[in-house]
Amino acid sequence: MEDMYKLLEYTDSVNELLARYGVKFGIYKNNTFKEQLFPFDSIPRIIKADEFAVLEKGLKQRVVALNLFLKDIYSKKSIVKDGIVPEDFIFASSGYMPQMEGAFPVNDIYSHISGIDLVQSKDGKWYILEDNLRVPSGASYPMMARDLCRRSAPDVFANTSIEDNRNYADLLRRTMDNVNVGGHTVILTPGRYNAAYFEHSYLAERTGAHLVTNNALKVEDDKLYYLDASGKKERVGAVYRRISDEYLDPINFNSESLIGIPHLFDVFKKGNVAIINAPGNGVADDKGIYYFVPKMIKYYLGEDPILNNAPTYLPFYEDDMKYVLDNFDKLVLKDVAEAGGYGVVFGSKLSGTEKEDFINLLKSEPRRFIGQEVIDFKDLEILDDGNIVPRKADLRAFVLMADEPLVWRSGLTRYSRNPDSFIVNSSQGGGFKDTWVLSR
Amino acid sequence: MKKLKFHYNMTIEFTSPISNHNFKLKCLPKSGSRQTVSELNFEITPNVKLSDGTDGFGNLTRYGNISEEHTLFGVNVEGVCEVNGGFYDEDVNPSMLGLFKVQTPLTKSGEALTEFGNRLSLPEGDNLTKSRYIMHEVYKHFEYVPKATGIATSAEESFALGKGVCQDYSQSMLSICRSMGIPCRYVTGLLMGEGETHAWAEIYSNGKWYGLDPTNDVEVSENHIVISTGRDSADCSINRGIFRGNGTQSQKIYVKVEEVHDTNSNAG
Repeated sequence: MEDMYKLLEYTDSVNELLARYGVKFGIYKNNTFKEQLFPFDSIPRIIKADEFAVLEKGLKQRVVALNLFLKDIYSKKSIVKDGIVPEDFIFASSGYMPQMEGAFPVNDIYSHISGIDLVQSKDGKWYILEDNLRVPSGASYPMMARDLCRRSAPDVFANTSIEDNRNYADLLRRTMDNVNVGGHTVILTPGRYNAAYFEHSYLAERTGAHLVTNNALKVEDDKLYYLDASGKKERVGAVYRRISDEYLDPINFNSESLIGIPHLFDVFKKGNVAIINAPGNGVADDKGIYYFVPKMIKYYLGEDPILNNAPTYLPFYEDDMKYVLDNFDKLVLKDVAEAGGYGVVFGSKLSGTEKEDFINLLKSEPRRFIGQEVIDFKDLEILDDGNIVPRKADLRAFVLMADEPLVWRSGLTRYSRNPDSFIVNSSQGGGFKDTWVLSR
Repeated sequence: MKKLKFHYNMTIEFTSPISNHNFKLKCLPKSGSRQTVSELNFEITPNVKLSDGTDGFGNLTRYGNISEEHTLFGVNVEGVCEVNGGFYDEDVNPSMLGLFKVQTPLTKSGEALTEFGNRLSLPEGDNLTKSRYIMHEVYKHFEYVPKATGIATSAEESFALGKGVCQDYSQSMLSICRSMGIPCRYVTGLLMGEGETHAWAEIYSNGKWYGLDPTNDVEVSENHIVISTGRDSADCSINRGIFRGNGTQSQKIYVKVEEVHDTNSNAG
């Protein structure tokens, strides 16, 4: 494995190429939108074959259960009826969409592409930190980085048995084809000014799907059509949309949306097009529901969870509230409605009055927060100003629901550049690494 | 049981032509255990091909697109509806009731509603008993003043103002009922007589939905036709549309509901 350090000398050239290809992401900081480069660190995260095999099994189990949960929530609601998940965590969730009641996605798949965030603690145990079931992004970064590294240093890869991660496009294609009801597959982007446009165009090119904005799509007679440059119209059977639920369809969701397609949701509801991922998945991936995922696995599959959550407390329950108050200083508190590393508070870092204010807020809105034990992440090496230094990192694994659940044998490893920070979200200015899964 | 003949007409005039007009209508009463629609005539201007569907609450929708330029958009619905009465069973999933306990941006209480709710001394009893009391208090609080509020006015805003129309009365009542843990929903419908569309509240008590009309301080009876139900008025918009074009629009609505007596029945 020492070979991988040979990649260090290509750090700058690979980063330059990534910048030239437009590999960027956008963040909101102080209410203004900023685009920034996503720095690549060339030392890969390495996961051994047998270790990844366990992750793979656990990830499949989790995503299968989450899909069953979504189906249940938007139809029978047995898990609520049976008292496993309190109704407060469903109907008050901003991710719950009543429009999805009575809508049945093709093959009962709601979350076709799931980005599951994990961390590894110092003792080597993996923990799930977060499920992303809306439009998780980021697969293109390690695909692209791997490609550039292979070109820069082919010998490193010739001597090492690594799972090729460039098959992500095949997995994605298989996932989209599996639910296509007949017609073209399109990737719907808000447009070239969107920060993730690079990823949209890259995935379209690699999967052979049409990259479109809303102007190229039209609904007629409960069917969705793609209008090509000559004005010819052809049926669309699947839309991999890279815009969020609210903006999908101004007739059925936010009427202010200028990037959506009027009546797209009606076509979906009639079963005449697949939307990837289905709308309304937010009800299954907020931080409040996260607490219940191990219970879902047990409830729907009758199995013990293979992968654990970070130990989590729900102040909504009296016992948990007591625990959180008694152990406030050693916990991290998270606002369930926030994402991207925002709304995260370390109990130990609050001053006396801040702590008092926070506890008052917690007591008045217990459903709004979760408390978690702080996991001592394993550090990964990164190159910082010419020195190799340890930094916190997480892993976003990609699980695709095709004719069977598929786990991409790679993933997006994100690291924090700040030595004191546990928050590795790219919105907070971190960088990324390739993830090597050894093939033997 | 009453047999009601109903007529709903909406016209929107635009001062300059609009095009690429997409719309979704929720203007058709549905049949169920409460009421049965036995006759229905529907017309739309300009005449275009429409699709039928249902929304997440089971309301009937009719939608389409008018690509040509037009300055008038009209919907005319006429029919006959047999109404069984004010309360009814419905095949409702009890786990779904939670949806009707949650406040929405339109029903969320602020200072005025919270204070009012705190001052109420609710009677002992079931949800219906409590809700009747809340209805009466809301009725007393409001002064019926058209145009004091708009379709986007929240319960809190109208309640603080103390003025409004059926939408404001109903959403204020929903807000208070929900803060008391009573599952309840918004209803858009038609009321016996001549005028505009009406709105009221339905509350869930002992396995049944009961209609309560806070604007008139009455329990909903065979004189009300339900068109749609939802969490708030936004879920029950009769017409939702987007189009290309400038200029302003003016909307006219006409509603008439009258009882019809079968000449052959009730002979004795």
